[in-house]
Amino acid sequence: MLGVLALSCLLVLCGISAAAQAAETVSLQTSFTPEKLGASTTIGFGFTIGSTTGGLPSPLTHVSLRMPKGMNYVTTTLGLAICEPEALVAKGIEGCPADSRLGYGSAYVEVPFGQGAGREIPEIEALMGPAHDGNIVVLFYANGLAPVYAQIVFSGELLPGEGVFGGDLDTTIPQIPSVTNGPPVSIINVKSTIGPEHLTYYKRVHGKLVAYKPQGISLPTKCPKGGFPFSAEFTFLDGSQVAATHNVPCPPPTHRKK
Amino acid sequence: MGRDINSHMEGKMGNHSSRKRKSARTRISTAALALGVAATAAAVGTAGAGAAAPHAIAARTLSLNDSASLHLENKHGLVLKEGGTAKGSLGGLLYLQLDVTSTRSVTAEVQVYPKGGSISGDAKASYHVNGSTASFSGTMTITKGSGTYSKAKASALSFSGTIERSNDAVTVHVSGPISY
Repeated sequence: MLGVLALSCLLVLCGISAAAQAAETVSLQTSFTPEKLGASTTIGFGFTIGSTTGGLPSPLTHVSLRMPKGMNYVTTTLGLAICEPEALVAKGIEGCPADSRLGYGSAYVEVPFGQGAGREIPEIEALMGPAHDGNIVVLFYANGLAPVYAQIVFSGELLPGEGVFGGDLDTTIPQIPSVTNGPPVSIINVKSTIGPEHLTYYKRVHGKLVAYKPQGISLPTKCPKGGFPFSAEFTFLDGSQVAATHNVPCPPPTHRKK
Repeated sequence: MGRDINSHMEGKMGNHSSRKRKSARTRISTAALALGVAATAAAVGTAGAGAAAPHAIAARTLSLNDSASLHLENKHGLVLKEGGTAKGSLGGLLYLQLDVTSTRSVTAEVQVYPKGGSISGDAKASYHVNGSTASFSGTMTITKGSGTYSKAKASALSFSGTIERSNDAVTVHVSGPISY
């Protein structure tokens, strides 16, 4: 009896020890397409989450993505229509107007059982949601396929930035169940854009619906020394927090033709 | 003026001795001088009061209540330059420069050209985006004026408006009391 107890304690201690040693690692990638000072651009951002032990990282619960100061988040024509979250949940992406689309992306998740049980969530859409407390709200719609059959809607709020950051996209990530009543999946990789690339909006001109490309967020007219700074803070289900930074290098100077 | 008074007074004092008469004359002259000085001072005082009248009289006040529909004239970085015509208690050409200082705030410079002068002001406002329309709401302070409005003063004027995000057309509304 004592031997069983001792073994149990040892196993528990080993478990605690392994959990204590495991820590999440995050790399952040950001880009501008095109990267032309003062011009409309599409912001690309992505992150890859790992674990120092090589195992599955704890499920992600919150991301705070800080974006560079001086970018024109406000005078863009992105998100001229509003997507209602209820319509998005009920009808999927078809429930929202085309002019509410802000960007798109994909994700890669792993379920916490089986070997190599990673699956891609090929469709993530970013849409303009109803403002909250006067802040711009970005709705994310993730359309999961087998084995993660889940259509998930979550939102990020664009908060004013501080210091070298002009805006902070503050996003709470819901837990994505691996199976019904099962443990949540771990997000391994996310890529998304906010910008006009591959987006088409529509407007009525003389009674006809005309397609056009919306104006994106504009880059500042000057590049800060060291490039455009991005910073993100990731919070995980186990309570840990990891920060990551990435700078988009300044574009090469353009030479005027003589 | 003093001499006329002296001769008038001298006739009345014909029964007094010469010393007394002299003394009286001195006193009368002094009195006349004093009266003259007083009269002059009164005249100057009146003239002075007249010249100072604009300061002494309470400044004119106006309950400002103007609106304008503006169109985009220039867009550079985070700055929108808009122009149009204001309608209301002042009226006239109105130019607005909106500077988006953060995702939630704007500052603005306003110039309005009513008949007979101009008024300039600075404004700070919060900024909200909701779909195709953005709105701003805050306060404006008059910084300077010219012509009829050279002494224009006002602070905490109500300053609000909307921006049509598809074409950056702006409506702006300013209201509150100003003195000038």
